[in-house]
Amino acid sequence: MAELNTPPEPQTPPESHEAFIQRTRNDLDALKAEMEKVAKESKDIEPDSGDTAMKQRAKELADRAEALHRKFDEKIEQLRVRFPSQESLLKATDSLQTQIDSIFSNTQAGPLRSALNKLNTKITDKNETGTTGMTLSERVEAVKAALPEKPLPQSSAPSGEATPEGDAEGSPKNWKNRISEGFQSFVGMLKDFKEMLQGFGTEMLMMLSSFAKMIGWNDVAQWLETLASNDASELANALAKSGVSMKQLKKPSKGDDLEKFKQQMSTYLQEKGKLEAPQTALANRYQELATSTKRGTAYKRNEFYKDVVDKWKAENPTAKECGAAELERMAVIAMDKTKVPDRTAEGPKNLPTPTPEKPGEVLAVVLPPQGTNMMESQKVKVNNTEITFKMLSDGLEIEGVRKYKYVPRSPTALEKIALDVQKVKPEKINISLLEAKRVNDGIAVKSKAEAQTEDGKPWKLESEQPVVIVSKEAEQILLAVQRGDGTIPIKNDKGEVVMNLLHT
Amino acid sequence: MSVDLTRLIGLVKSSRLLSETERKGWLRKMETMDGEQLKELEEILLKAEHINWEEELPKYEAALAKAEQVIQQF
Repeated sequence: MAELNTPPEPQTPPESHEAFIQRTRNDLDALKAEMEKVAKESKDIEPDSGDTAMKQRAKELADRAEALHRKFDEKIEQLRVRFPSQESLLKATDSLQTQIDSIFSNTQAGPLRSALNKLNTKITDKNETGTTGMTLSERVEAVKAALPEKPLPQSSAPSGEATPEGDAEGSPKNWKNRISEGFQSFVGMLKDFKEMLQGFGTEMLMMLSSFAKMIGWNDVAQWLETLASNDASELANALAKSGVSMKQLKKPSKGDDLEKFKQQMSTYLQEKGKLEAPQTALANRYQELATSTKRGTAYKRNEFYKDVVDKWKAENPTAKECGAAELERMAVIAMDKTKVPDRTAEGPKNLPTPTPEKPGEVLAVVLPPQGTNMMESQKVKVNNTEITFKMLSDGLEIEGVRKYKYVPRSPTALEKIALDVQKVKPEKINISLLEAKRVNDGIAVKSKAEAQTEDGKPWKLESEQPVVIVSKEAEQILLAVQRGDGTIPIKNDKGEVVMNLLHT
Repeated sequence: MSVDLTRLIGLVKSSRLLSETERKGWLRKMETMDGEQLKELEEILLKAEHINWEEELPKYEAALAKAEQVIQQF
């Protein structure tokens, strides 16, 4: 049998909160030092001390030239009012500019001052797209101020779970509040979008993104990362994926006013704080209900939702509605927290048995840890190769010559598959390859399994996400796909073809 | 392409091309200017260092007076 997996590479341990904060502070210190260098050097240097009459005269002329430039700008502004059409305005300003250029043409300083003015305009225009009114050093300081001086306690994991609360300095609540305030002030600082994306602005966004991840604000982290990539369409996609679907947030599309979007994001951050309380209440509610009703793990998902939503609404008549996606997420968290070991021990007698007889009937809601075997393995032989089906808590695993895992979108779909698999006639299974592409550690494959159930009905299973296959044959499969071969033979250790992957 | 910041700051502080207000303004702007802009500023100010101000001043003063007049009348 072909080798399925290469030994896993040793993984570096995850960075601790303390190390992360220290590293971030060091990075910010380095950035600040860079910014301060300019300011320091400007203090250390003294202009020429020799002050002659000629130098004084040059200074006076420079003052007059500066005043002239301001006057020129004022005149241009007046022209804008006087000439409504762009064409006539350009004509008039060009005429004035030509006259002034002509006057200074026999001087050396005139063209240089003109070049300086152009450079100044270029910089000013850039700043006017949304100046923050802060220097880079000040920005670094502002963000640094949002970092905790002491490491976050390890217990405040980024899981979105409720943390012990308290007002004392250094308590989790205190850290969270400080970080939250820091973020909100940062969002306010993002007015100068273009500038922030240049140079160290991008680095800062990425650092803040890491920071957001640390405190469990994954959607904000994703938003910041996308912000750094400077692509409005990606920004919209990131929002969609992160589940940030608050009513007050309108996703921007390419070319939209990002300034407006950032304001909405700021509002979202504020609203997010308000929503945390009902979410925690929801998690607590499930535990309470599961215990008090003694229905244990046989408590069906839809019943739970109904009970929770009804009670939550009754208790929070004026609260903002908790979105369905959020409810789902919180319910899953709540269910994971509820540890009821035996689904039949406490449940009433008329509850569904663990293995329902009616196809499609929903099983109990509590899911064991990922990878737990959910039912007895089904072993079948196809062309002398034994294929094992394992129903895991997070997907269906099919292991023949190689291993496949299908991860359905929701536990309900998973339960449906579990029932279907029991009915499948294994000798009729066809596995087709839909897509294969090279990835770092092998090839990522999307495939489809088709079969007939015992009662003759067609059964189909398509992988929704590519499965990475690491094997000696990965390269061979990829080449075959690239060549467009219709059939890819899979051989066993003896070189016998045991299965054909059909490239559809 | 890198700019010697120390030299550039010295140029901004001493250049006769700039008024005192402009001098302060450029020093402040330098903190947020990118490398390309700093280079452009340096080039302009280096050129200004080669101006023979003894010859330049009368010409420049005359041109300035004329320009002021044109702007005023426009």
